[in-house]
Amino acid sequence: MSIRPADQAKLLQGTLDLLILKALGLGELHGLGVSRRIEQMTQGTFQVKPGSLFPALHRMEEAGWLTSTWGESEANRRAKFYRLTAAGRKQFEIETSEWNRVAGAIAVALGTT
Amino acid sequence: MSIVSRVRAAARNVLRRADVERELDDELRSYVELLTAEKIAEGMAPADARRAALVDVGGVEQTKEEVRDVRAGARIDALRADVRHTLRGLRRSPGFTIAVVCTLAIGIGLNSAMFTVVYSVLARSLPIRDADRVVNIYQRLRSTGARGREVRGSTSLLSYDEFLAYARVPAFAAAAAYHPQGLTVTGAENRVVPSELVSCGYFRALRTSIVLGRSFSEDECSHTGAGPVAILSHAAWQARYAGDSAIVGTVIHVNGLPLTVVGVAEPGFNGISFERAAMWVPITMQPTLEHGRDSILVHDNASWLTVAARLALGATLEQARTQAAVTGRGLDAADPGRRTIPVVTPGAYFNFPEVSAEGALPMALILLLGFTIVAMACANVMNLLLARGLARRREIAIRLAIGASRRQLVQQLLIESGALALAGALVGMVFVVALPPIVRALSPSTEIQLNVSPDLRIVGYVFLLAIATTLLVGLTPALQATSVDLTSAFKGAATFGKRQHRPSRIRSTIVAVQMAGSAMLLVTAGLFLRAAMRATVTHPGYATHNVVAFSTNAGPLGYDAGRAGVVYRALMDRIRQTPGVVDVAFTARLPLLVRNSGSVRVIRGNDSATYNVDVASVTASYFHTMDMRIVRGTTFDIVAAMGDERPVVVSGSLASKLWPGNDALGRRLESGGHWFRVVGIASDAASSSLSRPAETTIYFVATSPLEKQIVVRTSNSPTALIAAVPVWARAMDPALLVQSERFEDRISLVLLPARLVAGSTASLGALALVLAVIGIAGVVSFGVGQRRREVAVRLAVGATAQQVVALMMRQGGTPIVAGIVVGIALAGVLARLVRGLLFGVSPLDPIAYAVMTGVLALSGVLATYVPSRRAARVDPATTLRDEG
Repeated sequence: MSIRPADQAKLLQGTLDLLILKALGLGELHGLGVSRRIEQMTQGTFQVKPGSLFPALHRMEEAGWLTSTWGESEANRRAKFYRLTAAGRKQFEIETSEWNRVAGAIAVALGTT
Repeated sequence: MSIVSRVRAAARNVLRRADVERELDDELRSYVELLTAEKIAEGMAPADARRAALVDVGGVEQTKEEVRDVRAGARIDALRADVRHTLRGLRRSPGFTIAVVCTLAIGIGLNSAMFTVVYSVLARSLPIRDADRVVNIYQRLRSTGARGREVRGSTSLLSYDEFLAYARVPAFAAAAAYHPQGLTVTGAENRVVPSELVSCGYFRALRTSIVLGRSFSEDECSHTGAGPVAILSHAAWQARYAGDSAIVGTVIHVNGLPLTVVGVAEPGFNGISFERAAMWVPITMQPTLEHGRDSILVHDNASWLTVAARLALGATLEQARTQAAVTGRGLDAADPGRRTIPVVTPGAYFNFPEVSAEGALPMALILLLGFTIVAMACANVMNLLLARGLARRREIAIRLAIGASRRQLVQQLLIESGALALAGALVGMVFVVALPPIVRALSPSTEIQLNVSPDLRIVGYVFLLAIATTLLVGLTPALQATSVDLTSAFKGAATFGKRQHRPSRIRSTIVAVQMAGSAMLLVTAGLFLRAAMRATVTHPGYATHNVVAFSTNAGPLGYDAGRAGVVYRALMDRIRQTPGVVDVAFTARLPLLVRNSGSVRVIRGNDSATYNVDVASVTASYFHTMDMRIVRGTTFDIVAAMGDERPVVVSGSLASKLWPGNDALGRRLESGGHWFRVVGIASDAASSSLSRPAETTIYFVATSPLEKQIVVRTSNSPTALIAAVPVWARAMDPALLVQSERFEDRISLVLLPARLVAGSTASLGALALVLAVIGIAGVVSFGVGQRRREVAVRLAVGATAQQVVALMMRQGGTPIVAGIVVGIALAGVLARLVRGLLFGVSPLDPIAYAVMTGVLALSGVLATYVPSRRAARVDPATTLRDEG
């Protein structure tokens, strides 16, 4: 199941950042690679479109969490690869624990009905 | 989120925009290619795969736009785009742009020029090193103690002893006392050199270097006459001694005394008095230079020295004030009855206490005028912007409809007014830059050092004024223009909802403000014009035409009273024999400009009362020479009959003040330790100020001709006499210099401020009136356009053209009447404040008010009538068919 654009707009910014950080945690990827990795990790639940992906990547790069280099893709095409920085790894840890806290709280809240 | 990396990114985004954009473009293209390749690998045909990939991306440009929005510095980018858009827009309407920029340039420029003058006169620091650490020390004397205080210039100046006392205040590292005085230098040619008598630490305290020779030593100030030396200004050294370094050690003759030149001060230094000094002499030479006749140096109760002090390292102005107060109390303790309030202020030319008090009003008036001008300019520009906003209703409606936020539009409109204000300020700087040459051209002599050249503070002021102008001028029109009702705006018809009445109401308010401003300026102009006229037309109590005074340098040359008497009597005899001379006399000074005051004491019963009066020192023929009358008694002619008591003449106003209800003739009064008997009562005269036509004046007999002027009245122009007298004097002694002063010139100088105020307010008021008239015409013709339908209906049902015109005029009438009323009220308040400058013209002078109200009302009527006439030309049939 994929998320419709209207819902995607509502996708919490933090969620997208977290997913991108997670996707890049395993190694450097280009834009399409990030998108595919997220799709694969969430078993198709999230299909990140370029309209959300690129603003997020650029914003995170400007924040110092990611760095980018131009390189060759698997199909011998030039592509821009993103990689986590030390600050990015730290951010990933922070956001993960934050997410767990929120998710736990919501799960508890929903469970009490 | 790291701020450093955000800032670095922002800098890159803003400064290397092209690189960033190209990279984004590459990245998205590579994304599409990768996606296409992926789809081909899945088995699609290449063309289909590419199309599908593009569909998946969902708009490359949109994606780019979204990336741009999140970039650091996106707001700067947007601002840059807005500025570019604004400049394009302004370039498209050059007429509007030029009109607005010129109006604002005049407003901001004139205001800044006026600010510069006020700032330079009152607050600019002295032209010396580390001037911000230099203070001036004055005294306000609540009570002068038992002994009368002698005043030379200003009562708040210090005596030499007082200077020495304050110089010991620990918060001062060094102190300097100075007294400006013209000294006569004789030699190859004789001339009066503007000089300063200074304390020996003067140059050290001011941190002025001596570029040639040496400074004064402390020994040269150890006792009276200890320092027969002089230091020259660099300019004087260059001009008079050709920059010859042999000048050091040379002896020059100053007031007839040999002084050795010991040094030359650094270039550009001309002392710190308002008048430029070319030479400095130790203060201890004062009695010597006066040939022992006038030893104010040792007079410990005289006001004559200006004092500047440099704060010690780490000392504050507050500390200096506290410590100076202690010194002041010490002076009071030594002189019972005296009450001293020391005044320590940051160093400047015009900061002595009474000048700050008296000078504050004219300065406040100048600033008020300055702000009125800016307000007028702003009102006019606001009117133009409102009109432009109306014309742009469709454009703005479209932009709102396609998603621009109101905030964005307001921001953009404010950028527009900001650009206009900034341009206006830049052009207006012309006034500030042009000010120094104008002041130089206008100032009566080049010896005055008033620095009105722009500095950082002035530039900062102009910039702040531009920002204030932006908000004042731009905010209302911007809010107005963006509160558009989309539906009616798109219909484009002249149907206005309730809200759309507001622009014309704002414009009416602006018109009222403009009317008020011009009314205030014009009535003020009228009052000052009346003042200047009245002062020249009415009799101030003495003759004003064909009166000339001659003064000589006999005193400085060392003449004693006997020798001076011989020379002066010879001169006066020749003058008296000259055809056309009515009479000739001695006087210490001509009336006006300077107030020479003293105190008199009278005994009434067991009490004695002391009065402060205007003092004149004249010979018997003075009253006839000045065309004044002796209303009772006689002039000094019968001195012999008075015995021991000296004769004195008092003005009528003084007589009635000293002996109210009694005959003053023959009464006794005391002044300066001598007893006098009143022998005559003179007609009242404005002896020190045209504002006080009945000054309480006492006329003493001038005994010695030294320090006196010869005053002459002729039946026709004294030009020939002015040329002849110096020649006669030189024939008697080649060193004798004669200076002449026409009384008319002196009166012109007195009237100059009133004339300047009258001239400037009149021209500014006229300018404001023109702007107001244009504004009124705009409002009325807008109203006429709006109410075409209504007019058509009225005409159709039988209204006459006159009735329709009257109806239209009425809507312009309210702001005009309101503006005139408010403006006149403001002028009334203002005039009361500056009454002292009006030479006795009433602040409610009916003629000034009537004439100016007439001018304003007439302009108002014309401004409404011309556009209103259009209403009468409305053709009911066409209008109702087209707009019905």
